[in-house]
Order: sequence, then C-alpha cells, then structure tokens
Amino acid sequence: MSSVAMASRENILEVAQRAETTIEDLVREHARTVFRVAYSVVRNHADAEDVAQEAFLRATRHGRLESIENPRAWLVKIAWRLALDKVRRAPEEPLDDVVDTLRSAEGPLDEALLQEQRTRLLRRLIATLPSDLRQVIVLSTVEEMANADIAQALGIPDASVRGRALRARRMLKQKLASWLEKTL
Amino acid sequence: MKRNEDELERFLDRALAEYSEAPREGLEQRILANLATSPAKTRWPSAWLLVPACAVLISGAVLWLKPEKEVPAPTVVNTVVPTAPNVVPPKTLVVTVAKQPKPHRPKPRVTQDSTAAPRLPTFPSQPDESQARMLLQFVQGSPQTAQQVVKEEEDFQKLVAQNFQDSNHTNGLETR
Repeated sequence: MSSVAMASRENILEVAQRAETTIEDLVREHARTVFRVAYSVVRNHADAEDVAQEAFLRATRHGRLESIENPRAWLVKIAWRLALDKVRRAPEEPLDDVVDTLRSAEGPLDEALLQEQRTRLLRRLIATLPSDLRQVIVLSTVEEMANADIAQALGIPDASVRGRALRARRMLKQKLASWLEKTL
Repeated sequence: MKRNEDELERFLDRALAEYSEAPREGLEQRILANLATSPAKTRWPSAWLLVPACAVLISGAVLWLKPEKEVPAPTVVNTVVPTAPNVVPPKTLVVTVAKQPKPHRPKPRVTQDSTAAPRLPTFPSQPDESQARMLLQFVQGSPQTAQQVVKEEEDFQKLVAQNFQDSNHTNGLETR
C-alpha cells in the first residue's frame, strides 16, 4: 500500500473515530436531560427512552456534530418534538381515585394524595393550559433546564420564558382551586 | 371545600418538583448499544427533490425516443393539358397545398410563372413533333453531315468525361 493511501486510510479512521467519540460524549453528557425532557411530555419510562434513543439516532444521522453550537439545546429540541408527536396519541388518564381520596381525606392537600396521584392531577391541569404556557411549565419541571435552555429549545427570548412560567403557575393555581371547588 | 392560597402553592410546588423523573440505570449504555446496531447512515435526497428530477428524466427520454413527424410533401396538381403543336399553353395553374401539421415550418413556396411553358404530364417528356419532323428532314437530306455532327458530339462528351476524371484524380491527391 502506498504512503498516500496509508495516509488517507489513517485520516478516514481518525475522522470516523472522532465522530464516534463525539456521539458517545453527547450520549454520556446529555442522555439524562434528553430523557427527562421526553418524560415530562410522554409521562412514561419506555416511551421517554424510545424518544431519547430516536433523538440520538437523529443526531448521528445529522453528522458534523462538532459544528453544532449548543448540542444540549439542539438535542432537547429534537426530543421535545419527538415527544410531542408521541403524546398526541396518548389517552387521558382518569382521576376518579384522586377525587375519592380527596373527599375522604383530612389535612393538607399535598399530603392527602400519593405522589402518583398528585402528578396525575397536575398533568390534567397542565393539559388545560394554552400551549405556549404549557411548553414552558413542562420544560421548567426538568431540573437540568435553566430559563436560557428553555428559551433556546423553544426559540423564544429568556424574558418570555420567565413571564410565561409565572403566568402558567398563576393559571395552574386558579385551575386547581376551581377544580377542587367543582369536584369536592 | 375552600383551600387557602398557601395550601395550593405547596401542592403545586411539590407536584411540579415530582413531575420530572430520573431514567432507569444504564440509559447511556442502552442508547449507545442501540446506536451501534442501528443501520449505517444513508443520505437519500428527499422526495421533493427526487420527484421533479424523475419527471425531467422521463420527459427527456420521451422527447428523445419520439419519432419526428414527417411533414407530408405538398401535392401539386396541374391541369392536364394535352400538348398539341401550336396550342397556346393555359395561363392558369391550379395549385393545392396540403395542410401543414406544424405551423412554424415554412410552407413550400409555389411560384406561378405564367410565361413558362407548362410541364408535360408524362416523363420523360416527348420531343416536340415539329422539331422531330425538322430533324428527320435534316438527317434524310444530309446524312453525312448528320453523322459527322453525331460523331463530334460523342467526341465532345468523351472529352468532357475525361476532363472530369482528371480533375477528380487531382483533387483526391491534394486532399491526401
């Protein structure tokens, strides 16, 4: 084999190895965030993991990973869209047991319910929010996501994230109060 | 049952904090293993690029393979006029041109020359009878002169043919 051919082969192997390392780094660094973002939408471990897998697969197909400025925001955006596509087919969960528990319970609201029941109730309330507020409040529940990350993922200014998060929370409180009053 | 503001706030804080969930152990390894087994990257152009490209190729092939329509030759119909000696040729000539299928092609121009003698209906055209009679009288009157004229004509034709061959030969050498 000639020296030129050897050099080309070396370059190809080096580039391939670098690309592989980059994807591996991305997975190790951001897989958990990507999963949490997916989970915040699909509310299911298996589906969230599927979404995370698909997000990284798309990242691999994209190639030129080193040219991406903010890989985390980019991956979060991919996972967010994939998760939204998946959750559109999900049926609404019932809240009968939550209502029964709350009717018979005494004491503070947050302690009366189980964690799973609290989450289900919150999910139902979030689902009734306008989509722009819903997106922000859902992403803000992911602990790794700062306002800047949310802004980048949704393509909106940081200030809008803060404003929407406040409005979303205020609206959630009103909806919760109204739901409790109507149901109990 | 009325709930106070603090209770609602506490509930929301707690529910929102619990809303996110950590993945099961080994998520990264599972993702990497899946990536390793996923099919190699194949970058096909998207359909919106493929469809017009195929359309252009197919139309090009059709145009290339399509036989060119033959344009029918115009039919020129002459009035059949018996050519008798001392007959004045007819001045009108009926010409009909077949319809052209392609308008951009120029129609064949048919010029009517009223002074020209009408074409004879058969080919080869027969010599005028008056001239034939005069030639017959000449040959019968002076056969030797006629023979000499014929011989000179043959010699002249041979000479012309010889010159033609010579000139062809010279041109052939030059082109080489």
